[in-house]
Amino acid sequence: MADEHPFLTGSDRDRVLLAVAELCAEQGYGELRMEAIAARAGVTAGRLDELFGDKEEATRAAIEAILMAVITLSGRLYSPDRSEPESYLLGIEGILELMAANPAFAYVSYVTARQMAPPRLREGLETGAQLLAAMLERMWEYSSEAGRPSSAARAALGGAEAVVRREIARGRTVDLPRLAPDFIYAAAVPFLGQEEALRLARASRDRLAESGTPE
Amino acid sequence: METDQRNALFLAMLDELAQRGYEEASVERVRQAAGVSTGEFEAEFNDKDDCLFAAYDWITDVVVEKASAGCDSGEPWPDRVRLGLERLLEEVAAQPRLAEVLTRAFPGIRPSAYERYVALLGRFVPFMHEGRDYSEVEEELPREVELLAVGAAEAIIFGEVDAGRAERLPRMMPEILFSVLVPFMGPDRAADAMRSAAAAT
Amino acid sequence: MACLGVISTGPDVLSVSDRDRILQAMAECCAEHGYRATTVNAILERAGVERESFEALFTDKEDCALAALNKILSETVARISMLDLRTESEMEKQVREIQAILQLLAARASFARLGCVEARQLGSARMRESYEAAARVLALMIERAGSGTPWGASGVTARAALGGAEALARRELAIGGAGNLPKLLPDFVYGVLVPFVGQQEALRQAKLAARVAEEE
Repeated sequence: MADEHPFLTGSDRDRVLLAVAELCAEQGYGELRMEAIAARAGVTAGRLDELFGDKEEATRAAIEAILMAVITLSGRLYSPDRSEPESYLLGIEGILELMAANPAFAYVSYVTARQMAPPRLREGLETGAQLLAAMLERMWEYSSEAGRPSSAARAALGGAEAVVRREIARGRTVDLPRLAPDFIYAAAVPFLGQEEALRLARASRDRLAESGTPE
Repeated sequence: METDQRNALFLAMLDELAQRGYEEASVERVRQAAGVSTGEFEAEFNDKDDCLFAAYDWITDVVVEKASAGCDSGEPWPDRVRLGLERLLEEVAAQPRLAEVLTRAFPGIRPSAYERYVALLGRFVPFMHEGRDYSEVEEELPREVELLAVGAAEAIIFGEVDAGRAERLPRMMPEILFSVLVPFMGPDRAADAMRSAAAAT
Repeated sequence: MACLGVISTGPDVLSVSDRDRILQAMAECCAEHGYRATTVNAILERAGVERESFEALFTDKEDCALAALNKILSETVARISMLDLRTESEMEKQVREIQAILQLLAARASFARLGCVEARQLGSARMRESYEAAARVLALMIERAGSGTPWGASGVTARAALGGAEALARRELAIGGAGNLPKLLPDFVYGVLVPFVGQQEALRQAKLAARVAEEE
């Protein structure tokens, strides 16, 4: 389990989070029941109650777990030896791979939190979107492109999010990493210009080919 | 103006702020709501701002008084903190709109108004000082521990009020108590206090 | 660090520094007069840029404030991420991260005030959301670091520990500047660690942190 879900351990809490994510993906948030979560996670009802008061809290924690995984991932990729834009774009690949490896969590974060659940659950997703947009705006420091509107970052991310949501909703999470070159191009072009954006997209495509992922 | 009338005026002023915001808040409406004549008003206050700031000073006094009532009761400090916190959270939950004025509508007017909010938090700091006697360790605790404890409670209270969930606060009392006590008593004993507080409710 | 792209400095090209100057001016004006009272004209004057330059980049005052908030949020995340912490223990890592944040806030005092004070209570709803996102990220990091320790971590505990740190930061920012923040590293370290590792260990780390703060 640790390989498939690298950001989860075998702890009770993490098994519950995985159970919540899977059940949400299978049945939807509305149908979620604490008894079913406890059963899937292999914990007693009492233990589940200790960990999370209700299903909203449990689902919230599942969303925050993936948010934390994204933050940790960015942490690992940013390095003094690599330019920030490159780090960010590698982060895009990393996030897509994370989603592909944890499809139930991807589903909960993108689909459930947006549509079928109470507003509190959207907070985690909004934080993630905010963070990604803020980090993308750092590209400004490296940009020669003049007078780009500040909404460029949000627009690029919004476009990517829409595609990601569609693929997740269609059960094609495993294919998400293939979208990396396109996303990288879209994210880079407002700040770095077409030529540089194309170069980075090509590099991403090469990495995909190396890892054996067909496009 | 009689004290009761002035207090009614203050409450009406704060309510007006909550309902209409600072720009649209009308002294006229407030005076009429409180049954205060123009003459009576102008005898004590120059303008809207004057009255608003006085109202905030008054309500913050009330808040501090209520939270600290029974502070000389002779009970151990952790119990007094629990009681004060309990009372404070109940008041906030019972009057969410007033809580919103205290934490957002008034401080948001301008920096000088915000400073009054910061001063309000500062007034709880002395109540924390006695906590140092309850430390598990011999060594002196860092200087700013009192403010850390007050800030811990403030973050949770502010967050719930802001999200429109003030009614949840009394239920959260044990958890908030833990965070207030833990810098002074360590997690073991703070958790004990939290558990007895949870059992008592 | 290798940079992608070339920074052009011709006078007829809107250089990167214009954006930076505007954001700096935004942060400073807010710190001095508050967000509400800050006008685009005041920002233009402080930054020494023309209105066209501003309008090419931002739709309005709020847009500019949000960009300034994104700047301090992302710079905080980037700084923490780029710390070379391979040889440190978990707790030492946390202390270093806290130190990095305090140093950044001290170096970017106006942005610090914008993020901790203006965005929280004196700005627009969208600014508030930006503040909340930052707070949530930091609280999650505290929670995660705390989850491996004896007393574990809870969402409320982590958010409350952050709240204590915020109160201390706000006080310093109010009394005249963020310059003192790095010297308060021991207090910040104690407050963030004690719920998770206990008083003894938290004090030990605070003492070590005091030495670290003195060295820098």
